[in-house]
Amino acid sequence: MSVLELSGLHVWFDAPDGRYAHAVRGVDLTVEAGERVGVLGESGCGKTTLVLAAMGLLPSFASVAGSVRLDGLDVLSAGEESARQVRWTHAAMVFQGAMSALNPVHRVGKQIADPMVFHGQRSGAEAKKRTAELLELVGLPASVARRYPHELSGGMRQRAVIAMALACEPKVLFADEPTTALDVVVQAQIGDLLAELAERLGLALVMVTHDIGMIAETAARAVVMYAGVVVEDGRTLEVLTAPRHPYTQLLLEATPVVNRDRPLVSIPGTPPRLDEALTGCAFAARCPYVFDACSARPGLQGDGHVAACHALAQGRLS
Amino acid sequence: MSKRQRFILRRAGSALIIAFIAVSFSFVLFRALPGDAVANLSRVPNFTAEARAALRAQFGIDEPLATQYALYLGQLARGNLGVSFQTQQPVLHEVWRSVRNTVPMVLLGTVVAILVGTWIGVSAAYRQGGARDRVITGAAMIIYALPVQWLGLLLLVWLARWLPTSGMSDPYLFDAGLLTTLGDRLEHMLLPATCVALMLFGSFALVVRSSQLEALGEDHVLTARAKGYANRRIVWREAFRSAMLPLVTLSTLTLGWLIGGVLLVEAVFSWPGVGLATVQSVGARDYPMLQGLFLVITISVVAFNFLGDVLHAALDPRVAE
Amino acid sequence: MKSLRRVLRRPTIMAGVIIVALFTFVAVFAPLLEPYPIDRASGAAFAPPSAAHWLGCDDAGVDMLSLVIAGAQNSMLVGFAAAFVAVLIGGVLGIIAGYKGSWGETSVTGVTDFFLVIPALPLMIVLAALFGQTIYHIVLVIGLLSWMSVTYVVRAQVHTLKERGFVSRARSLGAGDLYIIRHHILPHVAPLLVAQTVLTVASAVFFEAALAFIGLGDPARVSWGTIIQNAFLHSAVSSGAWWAIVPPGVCIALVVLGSFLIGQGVEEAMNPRLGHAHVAPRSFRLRRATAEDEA
Repeated sequence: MSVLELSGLHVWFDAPDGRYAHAVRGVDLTVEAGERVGVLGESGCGKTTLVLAAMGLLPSFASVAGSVRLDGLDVLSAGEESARQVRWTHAAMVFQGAMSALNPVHRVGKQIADPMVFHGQRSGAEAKKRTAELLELVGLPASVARRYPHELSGGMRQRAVIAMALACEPKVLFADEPTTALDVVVQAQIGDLLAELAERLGLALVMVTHDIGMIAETAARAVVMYAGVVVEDGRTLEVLTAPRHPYTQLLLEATPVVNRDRPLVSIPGTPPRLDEALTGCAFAARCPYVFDACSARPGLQGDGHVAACHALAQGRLS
Repeated sequence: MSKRQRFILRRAGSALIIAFIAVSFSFVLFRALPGDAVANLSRVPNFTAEARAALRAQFGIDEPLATQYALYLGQLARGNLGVSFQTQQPVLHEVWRSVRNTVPMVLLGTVVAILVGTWIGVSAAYRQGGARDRVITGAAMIIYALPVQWLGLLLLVWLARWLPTSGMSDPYLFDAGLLTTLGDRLEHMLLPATCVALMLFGSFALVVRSSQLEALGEDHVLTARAKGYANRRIVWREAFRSAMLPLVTLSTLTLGWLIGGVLLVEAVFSWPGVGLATVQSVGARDYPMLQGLFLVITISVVAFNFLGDVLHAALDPRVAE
Repeated sequence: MKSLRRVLRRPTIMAGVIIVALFTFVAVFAPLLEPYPIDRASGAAFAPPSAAHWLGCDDAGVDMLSLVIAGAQNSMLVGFAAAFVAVLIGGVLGIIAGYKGSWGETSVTGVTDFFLVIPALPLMIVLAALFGQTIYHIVLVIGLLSWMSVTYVVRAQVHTLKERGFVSRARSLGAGDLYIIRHHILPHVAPLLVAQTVLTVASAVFFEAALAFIGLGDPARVSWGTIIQNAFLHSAVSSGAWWAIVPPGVCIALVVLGSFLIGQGVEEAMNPRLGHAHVAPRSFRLRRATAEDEA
């Protein structure tokens, strides 16, 4: 059984003036045990919302359609009570900006150990022992357990947050921009750590980021999102070297390369507004290959390496 | 010495300085006034020439201001705050008695206000935007806006039937056992303490609501939700734990301020505390008493401000970094 | 001032402004609005509310509604005058503290902190007892003890303005201090000063009532505070004459509430709260996707 299964997922957010923002517009995604997936896309494409929805962590002003199966349980329709039981024990999350993910008035060790006791997995003393093991696993000294979050550096805090996420031995770990707020050297370390941990513990890893390099190094599978839909999905190597969707192609071309003398390229136009009704292909307005078929929404086509593009399907891509 | 200890020491130093300035200000206020204090006193009947001379000597009124100041500080250090014009008793003694009466009543009212305010603030923040939040917050704001002496009068009108309305104890209660005396005191304390609670809970509720709302939007609260914790646990152990800091500080500062600020309540209910003594002393132009009361009120504010700083440092691990 | 207009549009502020404006109107036109004269009896002592006397009469048979309206004039007068004094002092000190920095700021902050420690009401009582009880004395006494919060708020705003580079840019263009203050600082500080004035009016009205209750109000004038004091002294309580007590208190409360709404509204407008609560009673809603959603 797959560790995570999203089908037909839609998420809307209420806007103050009575309108809705359609942030996720029909996503199907399946992740198997031990699989490492990178979700790539620009700000506002819905990738963070996707991951929050996957754990049932949407706010009260959101509405959803579709299903999210964690360990077979549909987290969305099962209700908050049941969802609570699989949180942290089956799926855990490392949030964007670890600085504030830790409660400033509680010690780090307590924050790592508490979920274990709460979910009935371990007693207080056992949890303490396991906390020390976890800290070692992420490369932190055991003394960190007694510290408060503000006493640690950014990189140390992020490692502590990862240790905390692993406390209840989840099967899938979501990481939302895990390295964005860190400096470059630490970024690489954390990226390596995540990959290594996933390998060692047999974890499925779903990493949301706009950092293409990070995906290249840590994820075997890349999923590209645009305007609330998945536009491409395949093995990372293939997606990055032979992208099939025009958006991915343009995105990769726009990535600046340091040691090559090339003019900066950008994709013309801006992403569509999510509070306005959108029909057809979301990328049509900015796509160089747009033609009349694009007024209908394309589905993901291909085998193994799929992309949602009419031009691709009809062989019109160069 | 840790950073935190150094911080507390610095605060203690500045508190002492402010206290000293307050003491000097008190001197300026009551001694260097237009109108000789003793001359004002002479209007009091039965004021003999000897008493006048003694008073002049004690206060050093004919001496230059600097000498008076030195005399004043010296007397203060020895605990000599002069003698009350009204009762001929040492001011220190009278002031201490007033303080002893004010504190329990004020403490009772404040504790109730803190409990009620916390509960209201946390509930309103949890249900933000909903009808219940609006009603609760609105009611708290309205009651907070009501003038306290007016609240006291209304309490008198409504509850005079069931509770004693003035004074601190039944004057006809003699030789009663400890329990009866305590019960009687408590009975008398209920109305003024309720008035104090009504006066305060609005501001506590609003502060708690505001800081709790902020705390509920922080990332660690989302993390707590992701851990599968139930809402109640998150609201209290995760959010309120960091949101309660402004409340602790506010409560401490309020207590310090209340020693003098409870004046109107004591006037309405004739509660023989610091506030009522101030009002009576003003009416009787009892300057030594006024000076002593003023000092006590000011020092209590300074002391509780310092206590607030200490509590803040104790509760928030980030302070002094 | 575009920012001022934008700020005024919010409903909380609008409500507050309406309340305060209403009472100001009544205060200004009080003599024209009083139904009965206030210097003599027009009804029975402690007459309850009736068609002739909407709010009943006090212990001397004077119509309560007229008293409350007359009281509005003096209470609001003290309120605005004292607030003017306080905001003038506080504004100037706040600008000095925020603008000058180093010794200017330290000295102003020190003085402000000191005055904050002194208990306001007891000191006002002592000063009023010593120096006099006319309305001018009361205005001065209240004003001199109400400027501290204005100073802090203005200082913080001037700090923000300095951080935003207005000041250094203007200086590098050769502008003098006074010019900078007039053209760059004052326009941004003005809405805050307006809000602070309104807040101080409310607190001044409260202090006036407190002083009056102790017997230190201006004996020649009727104010909401003296009405309450009068009720207390003439056994309105034991007579059960709530109408002699309730109306002035309600008026004070409304003015305080109105000013509080304005102050809170302005503060929210200038420092909007971003982000949303992550925990709420209701959870997210379930829906079905329509054909339109899948297009």
